[in-house]
Amino acid sequence: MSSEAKKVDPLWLYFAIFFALMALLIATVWASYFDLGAGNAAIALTIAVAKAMLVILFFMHVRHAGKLVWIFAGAAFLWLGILLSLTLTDYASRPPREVNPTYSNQTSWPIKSTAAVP
Amino acid sequence: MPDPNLAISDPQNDLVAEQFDDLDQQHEADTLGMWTFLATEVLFFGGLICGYTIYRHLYFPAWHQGSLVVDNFRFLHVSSGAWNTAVLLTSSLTVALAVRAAQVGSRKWLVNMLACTIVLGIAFLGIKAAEYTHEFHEGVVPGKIIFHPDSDIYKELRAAADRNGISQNALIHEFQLFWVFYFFMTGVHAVHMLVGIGLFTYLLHQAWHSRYTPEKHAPVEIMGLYWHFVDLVWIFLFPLLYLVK
Repeated sequence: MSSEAKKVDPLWLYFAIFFALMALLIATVWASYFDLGAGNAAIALTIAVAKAMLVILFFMHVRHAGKLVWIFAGAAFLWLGILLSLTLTDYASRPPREVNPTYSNQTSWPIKSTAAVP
Repeated sequence: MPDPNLAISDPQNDLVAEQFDDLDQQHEADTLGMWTFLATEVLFFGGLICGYTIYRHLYFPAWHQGSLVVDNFRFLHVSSGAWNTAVLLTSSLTVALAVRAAQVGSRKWLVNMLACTIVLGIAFLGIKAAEYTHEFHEGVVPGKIIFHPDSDIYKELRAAADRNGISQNALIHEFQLFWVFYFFMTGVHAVHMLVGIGLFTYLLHQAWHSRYTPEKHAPVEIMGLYWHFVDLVWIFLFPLLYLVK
């Protein structure tokens, strides 16, 4: 039971994390008013990752959790990283799309197949 | 015949289910089970975010117009998405405080914080509903294209098509795909919020009847994890849908 009792965080910590999250929210909204090109997305997503880390470590108590929970939580984001990086490198390494020449005359998505139905 | 000696109640052992050695192990198993579920949720929303990123890259001009329309809906000059983020971050604080109240055994604060969380969750859905209503009236809901030829969105789409050398038809279809993603991502998130509000109503009922003690309050902790996770999803949806243009 003593190890359980140790895990109660002080109130000030929760409020400190909350104010940090709010400050990051204000920062990300403020940064979005400037036109920085690709920098806007980079800043917005960096701040989102920072907010996510605060929520995961402090509000979700992962910093107190055992190694198994760390592995499970880490595995989720590891697989997410694989999903995003492999898919995006595939798209990023292809030549730009070629617009279907018949596309502009279509009134709906060009989904009709011209192949004869067997 | 059950052995009558086994029926003697031992308060310490009642807390620990038969398959666990002690409370700590049981607590870790509870947390681990929830994280296993959350890992599947990370990949579920991750797949949507991956698709969103790809199409934003492929259909940049049309999706830029989509983001402008999303950002259009404001309260006090600040995007409704930012207000909703503030509401959800506050609800995460009240959930964290509810879990702490359960840990220290304060029924009063547990009930108060659970009630606050439910109210904030409903506020989030209210703001979201106002946004959906606005978007419905703007005519951007996927389906038949119903823009009035004089509407601002239609004019801007045509101007964007000319600027980027894309056919207007193609641009409008790509624009619609943005809204498919927008409504699917925010819609699935809103369904998670509804489930969360339902779970927290159950917790509130149990807490009201003093069912949680400092030793036994696993439901508060693991449903708290769920709520924080739904907040986490929104932390990423907000910049992707509202801020990145």
